Amino acid sequence: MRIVGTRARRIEDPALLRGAGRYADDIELPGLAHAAFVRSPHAHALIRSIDSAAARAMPEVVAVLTAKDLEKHLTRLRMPLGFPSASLPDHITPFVLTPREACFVGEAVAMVIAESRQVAEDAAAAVSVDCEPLPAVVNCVAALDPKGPPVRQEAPSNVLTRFNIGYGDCARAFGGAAHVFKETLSQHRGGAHPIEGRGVVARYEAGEDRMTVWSSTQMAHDLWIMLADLLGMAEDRIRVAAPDVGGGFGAKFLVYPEEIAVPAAARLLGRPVKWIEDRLEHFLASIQERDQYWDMELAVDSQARILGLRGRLAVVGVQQVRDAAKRGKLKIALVASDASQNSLDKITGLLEARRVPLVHAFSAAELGEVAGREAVAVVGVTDAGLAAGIKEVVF
Amino acid sequence: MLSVTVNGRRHERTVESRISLADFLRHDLGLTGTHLGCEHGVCGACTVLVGGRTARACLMLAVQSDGQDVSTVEGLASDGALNALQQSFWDQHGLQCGFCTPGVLMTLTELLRENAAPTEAQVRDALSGHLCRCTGYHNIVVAAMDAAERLRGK
Amino acid sequence: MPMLNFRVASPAHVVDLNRVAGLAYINEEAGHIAIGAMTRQRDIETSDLVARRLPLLAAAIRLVGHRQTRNRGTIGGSLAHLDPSAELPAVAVAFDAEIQVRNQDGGRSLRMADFAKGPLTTALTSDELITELRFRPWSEGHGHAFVEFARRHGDFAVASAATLILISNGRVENISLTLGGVGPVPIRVLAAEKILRNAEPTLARIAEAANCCANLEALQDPLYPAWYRQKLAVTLTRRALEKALPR
Repeated sequence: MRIVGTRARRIEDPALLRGAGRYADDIELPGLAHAAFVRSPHAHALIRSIDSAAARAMPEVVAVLTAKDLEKHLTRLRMPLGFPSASLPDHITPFVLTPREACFVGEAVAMVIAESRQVAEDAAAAVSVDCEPLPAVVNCVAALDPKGPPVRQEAPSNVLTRFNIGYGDCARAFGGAAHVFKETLSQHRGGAHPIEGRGVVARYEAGEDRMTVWSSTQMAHDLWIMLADLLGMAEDRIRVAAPDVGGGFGAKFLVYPEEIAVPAAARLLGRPVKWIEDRLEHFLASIQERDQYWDMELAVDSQARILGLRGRLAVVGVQQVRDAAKRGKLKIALVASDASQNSLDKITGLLEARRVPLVHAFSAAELGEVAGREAVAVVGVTDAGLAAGIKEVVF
Repeated sequence: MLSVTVNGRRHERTVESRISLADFLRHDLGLTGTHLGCEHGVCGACTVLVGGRTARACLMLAVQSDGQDVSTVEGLASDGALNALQQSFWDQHGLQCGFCTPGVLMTLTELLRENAAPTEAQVRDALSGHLCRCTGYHNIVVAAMDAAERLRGK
Repeated sequence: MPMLNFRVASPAHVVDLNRVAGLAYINEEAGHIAIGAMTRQRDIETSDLVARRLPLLAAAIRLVGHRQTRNRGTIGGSLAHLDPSAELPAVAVAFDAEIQVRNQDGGRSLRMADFAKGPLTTALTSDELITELRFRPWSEGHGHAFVEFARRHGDFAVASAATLILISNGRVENISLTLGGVGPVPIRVLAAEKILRNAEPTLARIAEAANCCANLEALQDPLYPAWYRQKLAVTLTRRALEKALPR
């Protein structure tokens, strides 16, 4: 049957056009309870205590859960690193609910479950969080200053990793250039803002020890694996389904704390739980395309042909490097030819699955030189131009 | 206490005063075709017809629809068959994720009832109250113009 | 409603005026056009009477929100809310409209200057209701223009300029120039009007009048600094005047 050249209509359209699509918030279940999150109003704060007595006493409130409550029901409280890499620390990922320190405005501190979203929000407003605001740094260039405030107290530095990436003899290109131009460029952060925000519905059937999760996600399989890991359940007892999804644009290409908290709550409370992100929450708590500050120099010959490019790019957080791989932004990875089998096991499978070209041409020591460290198992490049250059030289 | 006719069918319900028309349609009546994208009247995903005129269901309280005639996307198709407007959207690939689509269809329903031969500029003006993140609007406009032609040609 | 949805406002009681009969009308009365407070913006947009006698209002109302919000939005609602960037309050100031207000004890009439106290703040007491707006039409053949700058069609205007102008024997017999979105309430730029009143509306004088707006105290917000609004005020004023003059 030839399809090429024919006008192929989509099979999902009639249902969507009738309004019979089934997006996360359209899912109804008997006994469904609704969640709302208490979120930090501070960019950086220590959480001393959470008083939820008033909230819990309100009619139609089912529970108020904090990190302490969920901890007992999870294998660990901290989210796993989505893309394991030797060059990324894995002990500074966010928590399912943050136990001690809020590191951004909107970070979830507690979860209210009630008979309706309206009541859950009423109760969330009645939760009293005793916190001590801490100095915050909200610009990534400012965050580079070692004398400035830490973004996260547990991280030894605001700089999680540095990469030096390059090829060719840049010094010579600049030395012999007819002209050198300098420019500072910045690109502000941006939100993905699919018209449908995020959303999770979870149902746990205790009799069968089965968990079903519907999530408005772009990566149902990763969510599945992480749920198995964090809930301490076998993979075959969990089903994750992405229902009709109202756009993602990258913001749903991540496993979020809420996607673990809601199923954990469903299991703990013995009732299905739904959480639907509203637009404000999407602004605050969904990932964003990062702030970028480029400090660049361009060397050209007398005919304005480009001889070399050098500069510095500050990108917010290790989260981005992790995201880069998960969101398909990793253009090329240089894997040390003498990396340990352990490192290779952690990396190459995933890179191959994501179709990231691998370069095995350098030793760990050589890669270390590039990255400014002693030895490095893998260096990732997100910049398409640099990656293209590397490919040309290496392949 | 509320009595409202939705897609030609009368419903009597007791609702809390603060519930929006959108939440009422979606959760009390199970008509989930009307969607919420912003809850402040900007995105258009919640657009329905009230008394034959487009309105943002997120900006109306359910109780305000008492005694009124409301039309939602679920009322467009008849006997299971897509109407001409829906058919055009299918044929012209006028939707991708489909989340903004019901609201768009209600606005175009109003437009085409008022004006059987809108210009592209008039279609775009009517659609300016809708945000779509997927399509870039082009095929939505193409589908609208196609529907107008189809309805004229009937 | 957005304020309720955002939980920025949590009133104990909300009174719905949609069922109050007799508040929606557009009538020609002696010396003015009377528009009931509950008249839908969409009905004003499609009114022949408004198009003929208050063309500035007809021009401006097309820029208010989108058709889906104009179907239910009312002129009284817009005036009572008094958002600094709203078009209808700016037009009301341009016309020096009268606002009829009532409570259980009786009624009073307010001029826009006395009605508009500050951003989102009117002179209404908590038991008063706007019932009607009165606009005095300008003579037939007058020039008018409403120009605004917004990021997208239908967005709140960052700044707007509304002008009414009557030319007689080549000179400006009467002029009204109002800026919206620049200050906390719409501003009648009397200094600019003075430059043009009784004078020939040359391009030079128009530019001079527009430049009056450069130093008006302007709103500052994270997206648009005050100096930006001041610049817009000058440009939009000039454009409005040029547009309003007969070709």
